[in-house]
Amino acid sequence: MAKTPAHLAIKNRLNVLRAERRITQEQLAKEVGVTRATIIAIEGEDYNPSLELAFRLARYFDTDVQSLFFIKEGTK
Amino acid sequence: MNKFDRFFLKTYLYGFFFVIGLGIVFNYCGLDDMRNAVSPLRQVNNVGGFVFASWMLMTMYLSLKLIFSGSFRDAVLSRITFLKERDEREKLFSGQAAKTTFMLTLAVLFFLLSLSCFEVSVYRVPPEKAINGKTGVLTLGVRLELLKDRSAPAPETFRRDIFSHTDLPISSTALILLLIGWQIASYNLCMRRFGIRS
Repeated sequence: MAKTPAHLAIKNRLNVLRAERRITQEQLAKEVGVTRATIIAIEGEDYNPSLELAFRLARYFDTDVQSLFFIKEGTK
Repeated sequence: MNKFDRFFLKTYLYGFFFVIGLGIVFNYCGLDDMRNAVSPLRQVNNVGGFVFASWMLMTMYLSLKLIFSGSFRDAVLSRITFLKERDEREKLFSGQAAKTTFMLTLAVLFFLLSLSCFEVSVYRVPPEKAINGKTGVLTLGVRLELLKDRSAPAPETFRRDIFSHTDLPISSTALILLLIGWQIASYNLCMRRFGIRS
């Protein structure tokens, strides 16, 4: 039986990419069709977006999902 | 929601204030005085009765529409209950809040069911009716009535009640209002709690 992995914490570079593009949370929220609270929650790593939203964010920043969202094992 | 339903709903809501106003007028003037009054007070009584009857019919129509029409239910009840589902995160929280509310309501209903079923009486009987020399009696029972029994048994006149519990202490209207308020409050409190966490 495979060993159960340690806690997988999903991290993201959303605030970095947003800062590079110089756009506000409100603007990004409007562009990807969510509320500002959701963007805040994703950036604060309190909420993991759905696959659809992850792809929408990646498409908006012209990157792929893996470079936007990545896993850090054993950390929260 | 179609135009007809929107018109009906607006008429119903504005009519609600009118019905309350009529209730105050009838209460102030007295129903018998209104019936025997000369015009125009009598006209107010006639028109008021017609409006009230129409409003009652509208209430029945809208209640049934809420049950059977999903889109109408979503449009109306989401406003009344302050339901927010603007994006996927709010939908997720809404689902969690709805689940918590459902479970809580179910727990409350179980509690109310047990309160309505159980019968507990503590009373004293006169010395000549004593059981094994004891005059204090405790009776326990379960009553599961699906239909209302209108013919209540005659109370035993010799017993002196100390404590008696046979049914819910509130009326069915109060209970329904309480459950509606409970559902709305529970859902919104859960949403707020999830919102603060995130």
